[in-house]
Amino acid sequence: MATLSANRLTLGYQRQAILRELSLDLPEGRISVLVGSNGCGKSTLLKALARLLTPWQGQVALDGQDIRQRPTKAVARTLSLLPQHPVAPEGISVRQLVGLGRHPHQSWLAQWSEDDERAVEQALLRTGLDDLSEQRVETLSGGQRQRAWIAMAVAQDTPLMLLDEPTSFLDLTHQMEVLELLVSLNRDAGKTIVMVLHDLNLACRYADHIVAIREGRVHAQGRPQAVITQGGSKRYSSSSVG
Amino acid sequence: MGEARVLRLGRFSRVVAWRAWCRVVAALLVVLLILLASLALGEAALSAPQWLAALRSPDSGAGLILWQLRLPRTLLGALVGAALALSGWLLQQVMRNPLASPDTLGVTAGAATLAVGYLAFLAADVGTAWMPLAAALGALLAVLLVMLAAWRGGTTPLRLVLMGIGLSTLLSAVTTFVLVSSPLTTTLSAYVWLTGSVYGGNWSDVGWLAACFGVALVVLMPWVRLALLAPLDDGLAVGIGVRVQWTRTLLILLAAGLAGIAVAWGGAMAFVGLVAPHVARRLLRQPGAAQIAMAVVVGAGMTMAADLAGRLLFPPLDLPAGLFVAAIGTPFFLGLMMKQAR
Repeated sequence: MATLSANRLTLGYQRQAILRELSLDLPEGRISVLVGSNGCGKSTLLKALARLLTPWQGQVALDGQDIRQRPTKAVARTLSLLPQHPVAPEGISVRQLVGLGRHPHQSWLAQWSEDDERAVEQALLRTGLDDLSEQRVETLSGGQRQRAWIAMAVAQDTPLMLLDEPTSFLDLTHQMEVLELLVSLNRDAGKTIVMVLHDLNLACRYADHIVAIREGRVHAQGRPQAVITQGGSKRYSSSSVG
Repeated sequence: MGEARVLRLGRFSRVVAWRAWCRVVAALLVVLLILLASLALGEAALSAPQWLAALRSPDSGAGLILWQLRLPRTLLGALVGAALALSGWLLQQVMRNPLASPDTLGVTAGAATLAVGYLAFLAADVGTAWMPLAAALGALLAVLLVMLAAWRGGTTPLRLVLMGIGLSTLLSAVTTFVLVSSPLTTTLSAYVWLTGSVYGGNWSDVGWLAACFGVALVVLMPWVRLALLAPLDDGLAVGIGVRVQWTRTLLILLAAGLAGIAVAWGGAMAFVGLVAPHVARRLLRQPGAAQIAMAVVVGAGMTMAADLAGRLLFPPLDLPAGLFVAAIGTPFFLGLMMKQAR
């Protein structure tokens, strides 16, 4: 059980406000997709939801509690994040990368428990990387690498997963492969998934809930059909709002 | 990963990279050989029987050389190298930059400025006994200044490096100014210190440095895991629950403290801090506790070997170890880099 919401969130970079009094409740157990044109604040919103940015005003609430008031390690057991262009440490193997996701479950005393081992094994199986687990991450293809990052988030074993453009730089087949994987995580494991996508077609196809961001505010939200055909949203009808 | 074993006992669990640790032990044996050579060789070379006799009778002539001159000096060199190597490893990790070293953050420059200032203005009145304190203080002040200047709701490695290099340049100018405007005798002793030397190291120096190094190791122990995660970018690290700013600040202060005490007793031979971690990484590719230990061992070996070379190569001159750290270390370092870039 984990609910995530933003309450009158205002924040930005330097003096420029990107999000303006944005409020949003993300439905539990669903796939929510944040869409909008470049610079609308969708990535900023995702970062704020993942506590990477400090709000100027308002707050992000995880299970009704201000996310910044909770120990970051405890948050990391509830919410995992895949940033937009993650960089793997040099020379690290797929298995080791996936193992990093276990950090919030470890302590100085318990650095590699049986739970850790099982979670990594399952994450590798689930993402179809069990055969590649000893390979070095930099030798993987783009699609495989993205699956490895998702496997790391899966190993973190959180009810909530946030992903910032998990399909960027992938060709269409691999984009769909990654999204199918996320759908299966949602349907089989009941994960709440929140991600930013720039391709509206894919967003409509895979989202249960679409949140359209425009100029730092929630412009429209709801089921894909409802949001995309809504009056005044013609600007979203092109295939890619990137 | 057939090279690692998992140890579990109740809630306790560890991954032990046993093969890596075997290599560390092998390196340690090589360093012990250097130690033995360093004890036996010098202006008065000792043969094996003489050496054993000297070991047993500390009051004989050879015994004095062994116990009061060579051993403390060699151990001091080893500790200086070990502390610098550990500091360099931490900084390269935290800065995510293979060129980071105690120099990069202004540590060495800060220590040098206060140490030279001490020599020029205070040594005549209070003696040189407090010079290590001045150097350590300078190192710490410089790092604090760099962190403060780079702080904008948190720091980033890039800002820290830029501020560090800027401050280093400024401090070097101050040091040069003090050197130029002080009497020649001061300049000379300051110059030897700036090159880095463990000449005249005694047991009290060794004791102090060993104690400081020991404390730093104990403090570092629970942070090793986080130091290993430091190369992850901030978003990923926060995502898996690392308190990034807190960890970064703590590890930098620890590294600065280590470099500070090393430079305080060994002079400005911070080059060890740049090279030793790279050598360790070549010997052990897998980041981990064993790699840290390897860096420490390599650092200790490097300074001991450099000190020995300084004593042997141009008799009767006893040249500062810092000179040979650069003279031996640089070609070795360049060779490694060329092999890597191939």
